[in-house]
Amino acid sequence: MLLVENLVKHYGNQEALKGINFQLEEGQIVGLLGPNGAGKSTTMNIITGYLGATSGNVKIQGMDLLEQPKQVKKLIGYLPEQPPLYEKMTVREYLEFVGELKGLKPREAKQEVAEIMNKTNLHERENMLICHLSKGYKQRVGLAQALIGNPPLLILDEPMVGLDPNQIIEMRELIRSLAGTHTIMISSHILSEIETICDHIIIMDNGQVVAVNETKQLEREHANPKQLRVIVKGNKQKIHKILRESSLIKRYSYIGETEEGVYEFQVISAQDADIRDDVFLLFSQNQMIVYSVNVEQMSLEDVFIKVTGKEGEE
Amino acid sequence: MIAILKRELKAYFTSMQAYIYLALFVCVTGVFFSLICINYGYNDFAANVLSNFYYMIFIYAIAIPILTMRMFAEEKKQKTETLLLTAPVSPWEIVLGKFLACFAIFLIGLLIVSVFPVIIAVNGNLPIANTISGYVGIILFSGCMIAVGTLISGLTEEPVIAVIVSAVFGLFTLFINVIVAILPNGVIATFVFFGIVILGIAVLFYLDTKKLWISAVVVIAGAVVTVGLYFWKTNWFQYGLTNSLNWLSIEKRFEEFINGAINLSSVVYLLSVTAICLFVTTRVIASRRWR
Repeated sequence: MLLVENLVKHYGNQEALKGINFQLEEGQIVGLLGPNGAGKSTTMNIITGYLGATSGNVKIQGMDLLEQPKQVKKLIGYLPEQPPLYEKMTVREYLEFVGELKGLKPREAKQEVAEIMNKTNLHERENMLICHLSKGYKQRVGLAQALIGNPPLLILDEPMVGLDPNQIIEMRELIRSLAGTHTIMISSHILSEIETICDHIIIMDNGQVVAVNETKQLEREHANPKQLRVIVKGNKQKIHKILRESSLIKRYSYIGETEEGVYEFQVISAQDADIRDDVFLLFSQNQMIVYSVNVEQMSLEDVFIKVTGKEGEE
Repeated sequence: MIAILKRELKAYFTSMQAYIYLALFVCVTGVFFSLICINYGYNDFAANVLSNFYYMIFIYAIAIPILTMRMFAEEKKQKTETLLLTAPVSPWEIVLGKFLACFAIFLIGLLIVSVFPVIIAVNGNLPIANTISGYVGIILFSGCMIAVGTLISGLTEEPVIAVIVSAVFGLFTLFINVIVAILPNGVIATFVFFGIVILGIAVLFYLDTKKLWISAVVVIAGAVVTVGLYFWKTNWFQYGLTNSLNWLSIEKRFEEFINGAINLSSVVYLLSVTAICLFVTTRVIASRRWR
């Protein structure tokens, strides 16, 4: 669907992108993640043809952006970081203009705009001037604009920025409803957003791609089987004693009391193997009830910090 | 292109811009008409009003710069530039759409003030041929100046700078005769003038590409052409400075129309200047991608 090869971008002497490579398959929802200034917006601006790359290729459905700009641009719906809205137009006027700009005939544009306004819940505001809309509605108009012409590839740059929690949920559902029929690329520096929407993730840092994978896979890959979380019911002193005396366990720490008489511990194995079974048996032999034993999952946030060496901004 | 043209026209009329412009245009033209045609009884509307020197200063140094100044600046400010540049339209369609919308507003104004020659025709004797050639002239000349304004607006992000530069350019074309009269002549003056022009172009190239060798090529090529001209057309070179400026004078071509002559070479000249300005604007828009 989308192929990005060796993308390099210089701003004067500054190297914003240092050779970006990735590929999007049909129907994927991909999150482009990275701290501010990692090159996310630059990458998206180049893919959509707003900026020229210093070197490298962008191909969409096998067509090169520079060789067939018109055909390629028809395949992309783009919501930039700041939605490109004409403040002095009404919502409907604006969307119909975008339709005609994308090559629809006036009548087709009218029809399609009506459908899209239904989908994005803009009908009740269709005759309002855009400058009178709230931030959330403006963002929605921006998304509606990207959907016009039914482009198979949607590029959404920070679609949730500046929205309140309810609007974020609405936006998220809207984007999810588009999955399947569209390939979608969303950039964000907020991890939880990406985690809930995207099935694939590309992490960028400092103008480079530092990790690419399925979201779940990425979390699993960076998980550590040596670290367990154990929740046990029983006498606290006795649990301490068992953990201290077992040869399987290198180190452990007490986390807290989850219910009355039920305690949570973090346990680090002495070997490289998975010792969940052994831990379970250890307690059951001592007539104690184990509520759960889990390998400690790394959240996307931890993965992010691990690969970029930075704290994500929340 | 049609979509952009339609939107631009709508934008002119939803903001106050078109109304203010048209009111001002009609009002000022009316004042000139009543002062010159009605008061003194001159019957040639094109020659006495449309090409009156003070009236031309008003149109080309005030009215048209106001009309063109916001063309591209507004898109930058609202970030709608992204929409146009990522839509499946070429820079030509963007520039032409904007230019034609602006030109249309100008023509609407011209159409409204056409009641004045009609008033003359009804109540007196209107020189029809002169009026027609005068109208053709003013339409071509204004198109040219609007194209210049389009280019200036595409070059700068600030509407204020755009309006000032366009106004200065308008004044320059109108006062070129006066300027030429006080300029020195002779071989040295021509060399200095060509030198400044060539250096200016070289600096522009350098700012655009940041490559010194391109500027060096421009300087060397310019020097060769200048020296070549000196040996080849020594007579012309004697008055090179004034000759070049006179050739550049858009307004000189316009005068012919007012005198009732539709000269093909002048038509071609004015259309070419318009086309070149619009072409350079498309290059400016396209080059934004390579910042």
